[in-house]
Amino acid sequence: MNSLRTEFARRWVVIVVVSFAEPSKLVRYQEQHQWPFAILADPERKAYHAFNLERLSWLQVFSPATLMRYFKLLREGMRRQDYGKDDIYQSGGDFLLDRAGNILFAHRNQDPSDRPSAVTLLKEIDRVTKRKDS
Amino acid sequence: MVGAPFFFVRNRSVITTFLALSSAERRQPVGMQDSLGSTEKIALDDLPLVDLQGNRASLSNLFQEHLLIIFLRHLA
Repeated sequence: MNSLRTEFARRWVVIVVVSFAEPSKLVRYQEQHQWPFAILADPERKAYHAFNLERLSWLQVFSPATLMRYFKLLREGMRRQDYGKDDIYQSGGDFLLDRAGNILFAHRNQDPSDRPSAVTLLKEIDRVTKRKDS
Repeated sequence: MVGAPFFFVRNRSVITTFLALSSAERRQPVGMQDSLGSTEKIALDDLPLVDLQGNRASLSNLFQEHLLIIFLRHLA
């Protein structure tokens, strides 16, 4: 188990991944990647809507920051896997919740390059849980 | 090409790699964009989520102390 994963577990944080893809696609995705997280499907996007994750505009999806980031990743040898046609305009996000369903923090992607690092997430978890406890 | 997750991120932990897949990382603290607190609340078990077998999944059952939910963009 890598150290970052341990850090999330040490904070009693369980990571769950949600996708709007159909479960059958997610099975193939998980077979490919073997992510050590629970992966759930929300094909109707009701959870996405509940968390106010809207579709991005063309300008957001094709922002200069996104293009630069992907260009860099391609140069590093990244490869794209094909899981069929999907909605590239749907935004994603990261949310920390407590047992009551309160959202302790949220990060809604403003463009495809807008995703916090694991280290940043850990810092935010520490910040909001400290605030909650005080 | 744009919007596609990328694979084989080198020299990163599993979690960092995973976060980089659904989009790239950004060096901006989380929470800056959404000022929260107790104003947003989700009825966890009202969400119609299903597991990979298509069975109804309950977020409440996954909890320890907190739950970090990562909503993906599209798969690629």
